[in-house]
Amino acid sequence: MTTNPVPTNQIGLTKQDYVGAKSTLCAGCGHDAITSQIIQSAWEMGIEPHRVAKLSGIGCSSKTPTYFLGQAWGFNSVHGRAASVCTGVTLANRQLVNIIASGDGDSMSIGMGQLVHMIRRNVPVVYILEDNGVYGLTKGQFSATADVGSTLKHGSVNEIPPLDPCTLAMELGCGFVARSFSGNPKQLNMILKAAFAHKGTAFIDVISPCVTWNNHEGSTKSYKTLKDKEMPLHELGFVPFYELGAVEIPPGEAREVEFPDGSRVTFRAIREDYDPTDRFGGYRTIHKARIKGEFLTGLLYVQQGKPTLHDFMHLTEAAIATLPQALVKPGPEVLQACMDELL
Amino acid sequence: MPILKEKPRPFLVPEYCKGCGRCVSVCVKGCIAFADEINPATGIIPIVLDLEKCTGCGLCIDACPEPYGLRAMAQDEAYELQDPAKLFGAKQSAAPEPVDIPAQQVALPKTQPLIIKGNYASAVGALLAGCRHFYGYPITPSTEGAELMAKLLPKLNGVFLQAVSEVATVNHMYGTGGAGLPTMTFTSSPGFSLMLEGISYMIGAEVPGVFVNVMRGGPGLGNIAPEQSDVKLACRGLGHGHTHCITLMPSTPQEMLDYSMQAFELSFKYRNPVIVLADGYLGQMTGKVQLPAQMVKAGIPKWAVYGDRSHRGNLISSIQLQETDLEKFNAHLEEKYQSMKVEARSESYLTEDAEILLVACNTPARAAKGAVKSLRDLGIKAGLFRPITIWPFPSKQLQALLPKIKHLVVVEANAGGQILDELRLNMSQVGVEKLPPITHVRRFGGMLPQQTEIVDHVKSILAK
Repeated sequence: MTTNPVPTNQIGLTKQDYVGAKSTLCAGCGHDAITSQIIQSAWEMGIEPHRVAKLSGIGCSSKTPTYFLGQAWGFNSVHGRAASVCTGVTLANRQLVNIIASGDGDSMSIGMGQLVHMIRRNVPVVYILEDNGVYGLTKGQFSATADVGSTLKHGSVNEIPPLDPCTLAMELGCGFVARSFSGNPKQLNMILKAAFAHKGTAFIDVISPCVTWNNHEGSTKSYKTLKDKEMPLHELGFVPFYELGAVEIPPGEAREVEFPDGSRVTFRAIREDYDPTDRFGGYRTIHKARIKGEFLTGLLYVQQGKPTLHDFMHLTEAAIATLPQALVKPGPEVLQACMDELL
Repeated sequence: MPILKEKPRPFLVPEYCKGCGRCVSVCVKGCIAFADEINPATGIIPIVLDLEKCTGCGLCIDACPEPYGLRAMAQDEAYELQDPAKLFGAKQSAAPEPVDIPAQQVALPKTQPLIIKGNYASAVGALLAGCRHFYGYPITPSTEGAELMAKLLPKLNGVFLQAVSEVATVNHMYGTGGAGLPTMTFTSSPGFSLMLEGISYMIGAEVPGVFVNVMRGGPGLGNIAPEQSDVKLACRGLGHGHTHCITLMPSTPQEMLDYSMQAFELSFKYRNPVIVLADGYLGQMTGKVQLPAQMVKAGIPKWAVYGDRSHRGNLISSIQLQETDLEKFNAHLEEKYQSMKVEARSESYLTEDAEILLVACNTPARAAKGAVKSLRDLGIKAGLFRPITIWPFPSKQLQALLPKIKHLVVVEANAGGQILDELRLNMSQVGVEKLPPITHVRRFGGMLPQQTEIVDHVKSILAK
């Protein structure tokens, strides 16, 4: 009798090697669906778990790093400050693959100052904003992404217009901006894989219904409303670099964007042809959809080849911590030159 | 006043030159250069003018950023320095002198006691003290206070605003407090840390405001269970500079209401923020709360920036650039802190004949009170001293009890003995050189000292 071998990825690990602890979030939480796609995409991309740093702030979303990639480095930091902590992490060791799991409260209110400067500096990170429009951990107050007219569980209505994390990130010059839905695992999987292939900040706003505090009638971010309103812009395909030879990309109307490692994303238009490399066209489409009350998902904007923080800081390829003393020690001439400047 | 030539040449009082060199680079004739020596009055190298080739083009005068720097002047005009303070002194204004509009007491009908949580009781106290402006950021275990404010304030023509962070919260309060209105927040330890900068500014600008800190376990994110580890922040670490605030430590839901009300009164009396330090257990604890006989209708203090005619000369600021001014201001603050010492208060329970004195605040004081009863049942002469204000520390009250005391036991919910530190420091400041032996019962990390632990501890002391 033979048993089916457990499938492994290209570095010989099983999917079990990418899971984390058991989730303690409410049953049915959208965040758990995101967690499983992070596990799936990291496994498919063959990312070495020990090279991953998972960072988070405070909130339900910030609990999720415990539930994926149990063999990776974890850093549960300060409320809203994960972006700054990540900047420090990547400067200390640029070899790490950074993942930030944050929420709409963490990112769009207290952490806004940190987030915008992280994007501006193009810190290499996959930034996953698990967005439910509500503060779950403190029992259901509106967040800064709550839509106008959305109600809380006990009835109060939000009147303050929301921030749009995606158009904000586009405005800040982020080279990879996507919006997805925790109820659309296939699309989220493609976007996450592309985000791992991206060099620089990859910003993903994943709308993820809060089943406990924001899933009632009157909420614009309930599972049912989102399911009804979701309007994917395009059907995404992702061809990772290690399969390029084996897969024939069918010619036709599909758009295509190539990533630095050779991976490619293909876009097949669903409704109208959306150009993910046209920032201003993107704004127009997103704003129009918002006025109509549509919930657009997809890879909204991609621009490859922007310099990252490592380029701005003129860092060596190898992490400084791994360089031998002989390379990092300044010679007597350098010290003498410094002294001469002071004299 | 001499009549200026049509094309005036530049003139400079060297003391007003900052040495930026902008005029040097614009002069086409090369008339302006840096001097060879530092001007001893300013410590800066000024420019010197050689006007032989000067055409009076005026470019250097335009380039000079200093209001008293290069000026158009008849060459031989006599010039005397004038004091800008005399030139631009206090502006004449026809506005009336601001006067205090005092707060009013309004009688409340007698009602049945409420059975509510400590956090709710504190919020009700604030409303009865005339607070109609609430800013906050949800944080467990203090959120219920903000929740009740969100529910009630819109109905009372008040303002509830969920801030984007605790940093924003304290600055919203700085603004509203500057307008002379009662304002408050609920927060818990990590949030209080974020507010400290703003509290220092409020103290520096002498702006009132009430901070209810429902303390939880730390450091860092810690947990959401009770601790008493922000005593050092409230007493010794309210941001930078010479800062102190009256700090009240309630131990029942009734006191949460009473002290929150009194906090507003003290805050306006001294033009200084006031801290109410509760613990997570007390915030969540439900108890019987009797409403007071009077409530307050807030007034407007005369210093407030209220946006009306009679307050238009008022200014809220914490900057004092002149060293002598800031020294004077700090001396004024110190004098104010000394005057606050009359507000020190405490509760003494069965202390008249006590030989073992327990010292505790907040919820641990309730366990300590229980322990005193149990010990009395065993025939042990125990008593409880409970500081109600931890700053100013009720030093005189404690000092009066000390002669009879054979042993002090400090009961608190933090690892380092922050209440004990306050006790020792304050006793030494009032000249008590020798304290009776001190031991302690401490639990922390969200655990509270238990009545049985305290009883066992006292019994073990006596067995020695």
